[in-house]
Amino acid sequence: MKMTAIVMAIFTILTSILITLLLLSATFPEEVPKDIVKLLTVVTLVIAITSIALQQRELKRASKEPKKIVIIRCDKCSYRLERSFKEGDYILKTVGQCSCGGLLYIDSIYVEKKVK
Amino acid sequence: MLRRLENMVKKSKEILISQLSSFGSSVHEISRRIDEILEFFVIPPVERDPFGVLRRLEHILDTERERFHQIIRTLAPKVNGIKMRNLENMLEAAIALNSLYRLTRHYALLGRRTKSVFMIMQLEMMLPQITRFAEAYYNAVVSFKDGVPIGDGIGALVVSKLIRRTNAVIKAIKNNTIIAETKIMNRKVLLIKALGPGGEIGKPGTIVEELLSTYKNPRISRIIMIDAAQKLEGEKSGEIVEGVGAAIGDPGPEKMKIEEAATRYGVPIDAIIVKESFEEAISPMTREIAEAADKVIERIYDIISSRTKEGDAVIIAGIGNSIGIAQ
Repeated sequence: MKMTAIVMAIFTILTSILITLLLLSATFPEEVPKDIVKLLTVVTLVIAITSIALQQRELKRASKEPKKIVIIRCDKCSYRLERSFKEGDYILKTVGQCSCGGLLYIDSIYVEKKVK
Repeated sequence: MLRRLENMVKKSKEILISQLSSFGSSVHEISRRIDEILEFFVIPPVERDPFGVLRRLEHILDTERERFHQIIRTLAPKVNGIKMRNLENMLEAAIALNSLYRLTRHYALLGRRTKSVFMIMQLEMMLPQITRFAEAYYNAVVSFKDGVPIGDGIGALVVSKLIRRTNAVIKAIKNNTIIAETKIMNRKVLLIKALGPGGEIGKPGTIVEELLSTYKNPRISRIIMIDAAQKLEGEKSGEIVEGVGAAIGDPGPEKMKIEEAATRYGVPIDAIIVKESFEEAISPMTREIAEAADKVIERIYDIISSRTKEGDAVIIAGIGNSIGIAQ
């Protein structure tokens, strides 16, 4: 996932520079003034990097899921365990045996993050 | 904003396709049909002639449920019972999200086409509310995918905990609703909740009506209903409030049956509600709401000890979606 993001970022920057150079050569068929090339390359780079940063921030924000917590209890003693949610978990599911001989079951499943 | 909504619809569609494709059908086949399915609609019954409107509504809702069942069976032929209900719920949330997006797009384009500043301004002012609803529906798609309990399931959670704590015996499963029997403080207690851990709401009204008419020895002397209720802004999530009346947020048929039967047999109904926002109701259950379950059980014990006599029979109905909550 991270590798794909890096490849995409490099690809975006290179494509932006290429497009800028193509546009410059089309605008100035004889010789492109060096100052303009420098200025436009810098501007293109800044725009490309900013857009990548904004896109990454948005992706990070969208993928931020609240942590799901599972509370496991013993039906005989006061044993209590807190762990992350696994697929297939549900409330009252028996998940094993306690050292006291009682059954361990899922008592609660909830998310920590409060909904806005 | 429209693009953000579109992205949410796109992502929910992707989740739905990936989930459905893991149960038999090809991704190509599902992708081909999904757009059409997301525009599924229900035409409510005529209300100008109100006679029998709830009976007609119930029939339409039953048909809708049956259709969802068929759609999922066709798109995911190898799916089992629990996952099937979760997929049905996912589909419902995705349809709601898609409708919200289409409606928002309609007004945005109409405003642009007619150059109506007022229409665009109205839409602009509604955007924060639309975003909240859209995010809630999107979260619902994600939680139904994982099978995590949602805020609306607090009633089912309370009954599920009571079943465990009192070693209640499950007597019957009808209309995807379970009836369990136990004894609390020398009172016969009948516990009702939707069949879990799949995403199911059951038909608590039908069951309560049936129990009131068939349970003779002893007769039901009280009904206690537990449900999630919409909190107002500024109120705390997970707050418990008590009142009277049928605490059930269905479109009407189930509520009507409970009210009718309770009135016919003269049985008082106590309502315990747990406050939460609309977003919390269809998103994964938060800690505040989950922790309210134990406090609700204390209230139930209080009601049983103070408002019923030894030897009485009491119905406790936990209303709400039972996703991620077994019995």
